[in-house]
Amino acid sequence: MIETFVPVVAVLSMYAPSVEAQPEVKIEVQVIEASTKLKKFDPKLAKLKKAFRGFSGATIVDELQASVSQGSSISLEILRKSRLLKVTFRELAKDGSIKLKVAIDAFKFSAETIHKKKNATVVVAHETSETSAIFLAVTPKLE
Amino acid sequence: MTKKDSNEPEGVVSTSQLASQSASMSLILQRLRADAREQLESVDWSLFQAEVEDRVERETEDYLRAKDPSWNTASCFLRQEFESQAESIDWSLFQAEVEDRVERDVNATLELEFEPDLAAWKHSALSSREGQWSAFTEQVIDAVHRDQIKNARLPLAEQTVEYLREDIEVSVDAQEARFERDFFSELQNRIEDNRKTLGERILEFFGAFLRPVPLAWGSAAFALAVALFFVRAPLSPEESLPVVESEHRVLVEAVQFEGTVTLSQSEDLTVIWLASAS
Repeated sequence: MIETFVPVVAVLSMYAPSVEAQPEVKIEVQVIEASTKLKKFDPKLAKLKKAFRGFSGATIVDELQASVSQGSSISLEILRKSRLLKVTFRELAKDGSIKLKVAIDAFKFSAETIHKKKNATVVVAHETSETSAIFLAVTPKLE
Repeated sequence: MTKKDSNEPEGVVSTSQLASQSASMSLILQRLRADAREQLESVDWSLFQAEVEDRVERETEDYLRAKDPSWNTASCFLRQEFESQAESIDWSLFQAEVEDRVERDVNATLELEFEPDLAAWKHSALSSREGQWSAFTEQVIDAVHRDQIKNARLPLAEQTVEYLREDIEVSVDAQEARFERDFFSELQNRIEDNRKTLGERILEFFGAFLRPVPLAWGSAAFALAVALFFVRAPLSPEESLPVVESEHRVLVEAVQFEGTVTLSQSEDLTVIWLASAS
C-alpha cells in the first residue's frame, strides 16, 4: 500500500503548480487626531507635519504595524471603533514599488496607491468637526 | 444909471439900453431859476406827502365818525389792539428764523444740485493729492483683506489644502528655473546636432582621431563612421526627450468617494482630503 502511494504522491507533486513564496511587506497605519484646540504635535509626527497645516496640535490615537503578504489585507477600527480602515497589499513591482488599496467602506471610499520609494506615506484626511480632523497615515515598508 | 442921449428926451430909457439890460438880466435870471430848481429838488417832499395823507385820513375818519359812530369805535379799538401787539412782538427773532430758513433752503438746493460734482471733485482732489500709488496700495490691501476673510470662512480641510497648495507652488517656483534651464539647454543641443551638415558631422567625428591614427586604420574608421552615420542619420524629431522622473513618492492611481476629494502632493507627502457631499 505504502509502496504504491509514495510514487503516486511523487508524481503528483511533480505536476502540482509550483507555489512561489508570496512577498510580504510591513504596513504601518497611524490614526491621528489633529485639532485647533490641541497645543502640541506628537514628536513621532514630525515627518507628516506638513499635512497638519491649520491645526495647532496633533496626537496619535491608534497605531498598527503588521506584515501582510501580497493579496492580503489588514483592518483597523477607527473613529471610536465605528468605522473600519482596510489596507490591502496588492502588488510588489520589480522596481520595488508597492501597490496598496486603502478603503473605508463606511465612507464609500477607496484609493489605489503606488508607493515608489521606501517608507513613502499616504495620508487620508477627513474633517470630524469644525475644529478637528482625523488623519490616517499608511506607510508600507519592505521587509 | 442911464446914459442921456441927445436925440431922446431926458428921463426916458432908450431901446438899446433896454436891450443891453435885458441881456445882462437874462443871465441872472437863469442862475436864479437854477437855484430855485435846486432848492425845490432838495425839499423832502415825503414829509409833505405824509402830512397830506395823514390829513386826508383824519378828514376821512371824521367824516365816517359823523356818519356811523359805532363802526368807527370798533375800528379804532382794533387798530389800537393791533398796534399794541405789533409793538410787543420781538421782530428780531422772527427775522433770524426767516434768515435761517432761507439759508437752509438754499443749502439744501445747492447740495442737491452740486452733490455729484462735489463728490467727483473730492475724489479727483484726493487722487491727485495722494497719488496713484496710494490708490494701488489701497486696492492691494483690500484684496488681501478679502482673501483673509475668505480664508477665515473656509472649512478646516479647505484651509489645510490651501496652505499645502501654496507650499507646493512655492516649491515648484523654486525648482522651475533650474528645470527649465536644463530642459532648454538639452533641447538646444539636440537642435544644434540636427542642424549640422554631413561634412560637419564627419569632420567632427574624425577630428579627434585622424591625426594620431595610421592611414589604414583611419580608412577603416572612416568607413565604419560613414556606416554608423547612415544608420543613425534618420534622427526623427519624435526621438524621446530625456525622461524626467516624478519626484512624488506616492502615486494615487484611482480614488472612489461619494463627495469631494482633494489631493495634495508634495515631494515627500501625499494627502487625500475627503469632504462629504452633505
